[in-house]
Amino acid sequence: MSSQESENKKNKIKIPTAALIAFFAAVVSICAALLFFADGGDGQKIAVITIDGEEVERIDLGSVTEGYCIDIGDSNTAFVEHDKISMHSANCPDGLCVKQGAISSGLVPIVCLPNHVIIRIEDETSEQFDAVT
Amino acid sequence: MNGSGKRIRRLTVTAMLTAVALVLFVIEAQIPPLVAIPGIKMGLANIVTLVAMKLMSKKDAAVVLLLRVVLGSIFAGQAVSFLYSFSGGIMCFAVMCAVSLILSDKQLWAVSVFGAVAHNAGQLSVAALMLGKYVWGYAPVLLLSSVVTGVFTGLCAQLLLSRFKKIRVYLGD
Repeated sequence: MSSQESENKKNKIKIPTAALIAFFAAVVSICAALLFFADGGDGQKIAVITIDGEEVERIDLGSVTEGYCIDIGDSNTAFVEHDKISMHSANCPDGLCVKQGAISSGLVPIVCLPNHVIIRIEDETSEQFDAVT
Repeated sequence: MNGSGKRIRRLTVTAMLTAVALVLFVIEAQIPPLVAIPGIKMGLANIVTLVAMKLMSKKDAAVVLLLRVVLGSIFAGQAVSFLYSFSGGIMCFAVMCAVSLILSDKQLWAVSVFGAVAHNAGQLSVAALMLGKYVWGYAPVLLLSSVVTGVFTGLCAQLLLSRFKKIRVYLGD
């Protein structure tokens, strides 16, 4: 009938659907486990803020006692607290970076894509990760 | 049907699918994001790419995809979003073409998952070039979400194709 179907019939390799489901389930659970369990080590947490890949600010979050705001360029402001940091305001159209909320581990950074701002946390665990990779 | 009739039919269907993809793309851009992380979205427009791939041919699907990406960034995007859409779209399409060779029509949902993962990988690569390697920190989140959204869009495409078969629309070579 169709060229697509004859193409499939000619094909000798068959991948069972169960194998596909198992593979995707494994990928999902590994990612979920990584995100769920990797919530920061006890090491020193340092927030690093970059614009266009260039570092503009470095804050030791462990030494912060009272929350405060800092400006990142003219576009964004971050809210710094003890062991965590969030984007407080941004002039980007979607405001996703603000909605993301606070981060407290080095696993997922806050990225403001339109303004090219990245806030990430460096801690002992993430440095070990860098050393391995 | 004679040659020119076939060509006209193909042109109309390509235009129609592009319009559908564009509408899905624009509507999706208006829906508030489900999760507050850049890059996570349903990818509804990929349903049309998958349908075009199976209903017509890979070449026609590529045309629909490219038109949608270009028109989509004119209608719904900012200047930078074109780069992300384009890199994601190309990666997604290349991977979907490759895996559809070894997966059956019944496994189209899996083709869609591989495509969704590739889409995010393409976008992350561009983001990493522009912003630095630390955006790769998003990889686990995006991988997780792309498997979920890929299954959804893939099943939508499968459902659509089964309906198309019932009304005997066939436009291949």
